[in-house]
Amino acid sequence: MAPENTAALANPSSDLAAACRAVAEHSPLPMLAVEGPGLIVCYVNPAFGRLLAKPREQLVGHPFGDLLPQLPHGVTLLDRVFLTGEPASSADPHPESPDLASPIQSYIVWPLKAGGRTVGAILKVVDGAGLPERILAINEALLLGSLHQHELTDAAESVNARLMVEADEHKKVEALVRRTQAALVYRAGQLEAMVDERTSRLTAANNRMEDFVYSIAHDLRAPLRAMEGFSSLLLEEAGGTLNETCRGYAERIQKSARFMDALLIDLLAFSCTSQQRIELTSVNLGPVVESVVLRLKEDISEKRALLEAPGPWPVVLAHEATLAQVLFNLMANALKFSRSDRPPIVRLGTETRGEFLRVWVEDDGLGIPIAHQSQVFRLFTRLNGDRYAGAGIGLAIVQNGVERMGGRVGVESLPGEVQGTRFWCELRAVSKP
Amino acid sequence: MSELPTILLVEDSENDLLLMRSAFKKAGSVFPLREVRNGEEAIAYLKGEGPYQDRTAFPLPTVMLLDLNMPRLDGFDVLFWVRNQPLLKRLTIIILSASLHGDDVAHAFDLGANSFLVKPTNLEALAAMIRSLCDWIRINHFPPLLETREE
Repeated sequence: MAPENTAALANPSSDLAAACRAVAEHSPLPMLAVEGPGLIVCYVNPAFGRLLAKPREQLVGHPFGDLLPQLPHGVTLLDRVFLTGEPASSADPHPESPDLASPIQSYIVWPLKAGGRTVGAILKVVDGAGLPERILAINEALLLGSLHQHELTDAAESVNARLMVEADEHKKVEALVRRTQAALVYRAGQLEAMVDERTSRLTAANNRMEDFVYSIAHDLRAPLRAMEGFSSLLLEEAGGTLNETCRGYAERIQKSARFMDALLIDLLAFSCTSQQRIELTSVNLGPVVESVVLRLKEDISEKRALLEAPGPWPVVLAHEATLAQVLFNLMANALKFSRSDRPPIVRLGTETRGEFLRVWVEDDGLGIPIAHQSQVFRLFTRLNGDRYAGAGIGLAIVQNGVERMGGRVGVESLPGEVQGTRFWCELRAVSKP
Repeated sequence: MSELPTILLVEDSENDLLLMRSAFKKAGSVFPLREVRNGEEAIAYLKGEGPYQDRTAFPLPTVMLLDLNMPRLDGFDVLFWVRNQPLLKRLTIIILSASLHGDDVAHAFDLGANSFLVKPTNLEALAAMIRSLCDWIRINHFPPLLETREE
């Protein structure tokens, strides 16, 4: 036991003091406490009573020297402890006052302090008559055990305290989590409201766009109808009386009106493919190709074009109307950019490319210089100027449509003497069940 | 019916009116054609109000060609009005629109239109369309306009 702990014994309210008192009470080793410079015995444990074969009442209240006259060195030692405030032991040299025959052989003394002053001392007998070795060992073990017990209690208490702190922290964290969750729910609500608001704004914008497109269709096409109609009437009814120049002017008006109408129709188609909701389904290419060829029949026979489209036509993931528009534009494009000196040959085919199916359309026309190939899909791009009719919207529709179906488009020049161009689009292939 | 069916053209645009006249001429139409310039006039004509009291000069039409886009009372308004007149329920109404817009076709049929045509931009095509229309009127059997129930 350390001196600090003995000081704590002076404070009976302390747990440690109670623990020490309990240890002393049950200790097999005799212990006593004295107070004041008179060394008045204020406590003896039962073991001490048994050692002196006297009841406790006969021991407490008497000076230590009176109880154990045969132990002068004990008195000296107690006095010294009082003076120095340091523990002492019977093993310390004591030439001047050798102990006489006594039931107490060896002992240790600790000071009891209060407010920095020594107010008493504890004496513990560690060896003496009738104190078997075994008891000493048990004593040490018990002492150590009680100390450990105390340490365990301390540890348990500190663990408990820590647990309480942790529980408190846990509560704080829980509250924080609840607050954060509430904030998240609120934020999610805000985001949802924002999405709703933007959706409705987009819908409104879309509706305005549709109205705009409609007004283009209606308002611009009405005067065009008049330009085309009246220039046609002029040519029909007065063509004979007009000179060649004036007839040429009327023809230019008529042609321009027709061209502008084609342009408007393409623009409307482009705007439709841009606005349409596209839902992808499995589409059998065969019937789509067939319908496109049918729609181009007049154009094909007028140009005496040779169409090679042997198939096979697998199933792709697409939007049927959009796919038809894409193929129509690609084939119309191939027919349009044919050479004037011979009937054009247009080839149509497919090939599997990983998860995609590539549909390609080939012509044997003029070809496109590599430098210009990246531009052809842009809106209003016309590489051949006035030589070929066209508004430069067809391929933009192709690109827009294919990309909205989750595919991609491309163009490449054919090598060798063919000199033509191959346009292709790739769509997700659907494996046959 | 021994007389030729009269066609009433409701068209507000002067250009389109002139072009329609030319198209009828090019198509070689034999049917009497009457023209009114807006929805109000169309209703007055059908009611036989004002100048239209004279049914010799302005006979009740068998077929009405109705433009959709007109100021004030538009084609849909006229269509709605006609289909709520029990005496006019047998009038054949053909919508003539400048373009296909949204649900216009469905809306027109829901209101009781009999046909929906889009004006071609090209006079030649317009004449071809009118020619087909006249052919159809020639082969079609129209009921008497007014009910002749025996009660």
